[in-house]
Amino acid sequence: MLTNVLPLVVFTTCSGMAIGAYLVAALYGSAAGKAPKGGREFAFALTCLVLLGVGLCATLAHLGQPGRFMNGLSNPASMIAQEGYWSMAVGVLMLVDVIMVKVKGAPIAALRWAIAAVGIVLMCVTALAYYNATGIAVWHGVSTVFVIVIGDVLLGLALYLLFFGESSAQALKLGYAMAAVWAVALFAFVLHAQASGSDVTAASVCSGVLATAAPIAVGAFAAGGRLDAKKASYAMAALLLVGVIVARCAFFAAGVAA
Amino acid sequence: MADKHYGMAIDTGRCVGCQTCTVGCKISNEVPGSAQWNHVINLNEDAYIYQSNGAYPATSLAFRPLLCNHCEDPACVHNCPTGAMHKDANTGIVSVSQDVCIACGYCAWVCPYGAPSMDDVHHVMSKCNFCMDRVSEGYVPYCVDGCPANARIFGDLNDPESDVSKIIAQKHGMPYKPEDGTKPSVYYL
Repeated sequence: MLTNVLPLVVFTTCSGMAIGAYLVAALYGSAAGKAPKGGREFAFALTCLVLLGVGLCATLAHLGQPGRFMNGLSNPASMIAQEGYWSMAVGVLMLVDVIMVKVKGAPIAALRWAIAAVGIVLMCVTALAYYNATGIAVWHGVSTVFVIVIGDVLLGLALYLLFFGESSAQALKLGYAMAAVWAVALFAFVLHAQASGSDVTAASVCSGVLATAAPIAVGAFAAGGRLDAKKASYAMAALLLVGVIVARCAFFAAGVAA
Repeated sequence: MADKHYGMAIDTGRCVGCQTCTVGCKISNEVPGSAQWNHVINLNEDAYIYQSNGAYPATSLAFRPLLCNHCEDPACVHNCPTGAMHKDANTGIVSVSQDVCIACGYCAWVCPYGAPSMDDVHHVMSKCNFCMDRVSEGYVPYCVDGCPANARIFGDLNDPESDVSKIIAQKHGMPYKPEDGTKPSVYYL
């Protein structure tokens, strides 16, 4: 089962982290005219591009015939092919962003927003690809869309906080809000899974504690002055990352093992 | 409209759950590895296969043999990223071009019947093709031929005079999971 689940977890985690990070960067980073200090823009853009590449490479491990992967782009009506098209589109835009940041020293706001927009489409297409799996009851629910999309935003936020967290209090606030929304999405997924004969309660509670309760506690410590912004950012990033990965593992194990 | 539209009726009142269709399909089609093109479940899908339903003394035991439903609007064909999964316009039979398939498994995920089955020997998807080579020579599929209870009736659904069309009409055959909108070509009586 691990060989079936792992490539999907790696793909959705890495690509979700990359596109989610661009969304957060567009909202709270340089693109919004609030350029974070530290000159890490190039490293951030390059990391996102590498993560997207790692995610796409992981999908090859999911295929029985990886050498024929180009065949998987033949049918535009297929959600899998659409994931490929949008992944390539976001990859090209990210590459341009990496080059522009390297050449100009700062990102172009319009390009960051374009990547964020295409990234949102990719998040939705990915989520709908699993939602459309009518043969896998545990995935065929609206909660799947929220678990994937909100999970991607949280993963992106984790990456953004690792790079720019200490200088972006707004992003930290987004973290608290999204963590709360994540709890609702997880609860909906647990209910849907129960209705379709799967039990993902344990992993979802674990994910909820890691990606919802603990980040809010970190925020409280930071607000109380008992944790500086840098440490709070790193702590929240780690908690969000592990919390979402736990939920992703449970999501795919419930579907593939069904 | 296709020249022919092959379909099947399965009489659950006649099926005895002997699994001859499952074994006959596997052996005769030389279905590799752990792939299965045919399987049998309890008619009450929440029950174990040989578990009776109802309360004593009014208990019953009935089965639902499952295979590819060769849908008119097949989810596997629409969702196959490669186009390997395809529907023959002249017969309505859905089959997979294994030399094109990338074995992503998505067809099995989107099929309401879980019909596509991974060939874990050659690492490509495989599935029931209504024994299309036999059918083209005028024979019926192995599962129909081998059924000791004569529970399966195969034929052309476009021909109102075919045995399969007549029995579906007479016994009010119903497809399985019609709510998924794939318009199956297998009917249960």
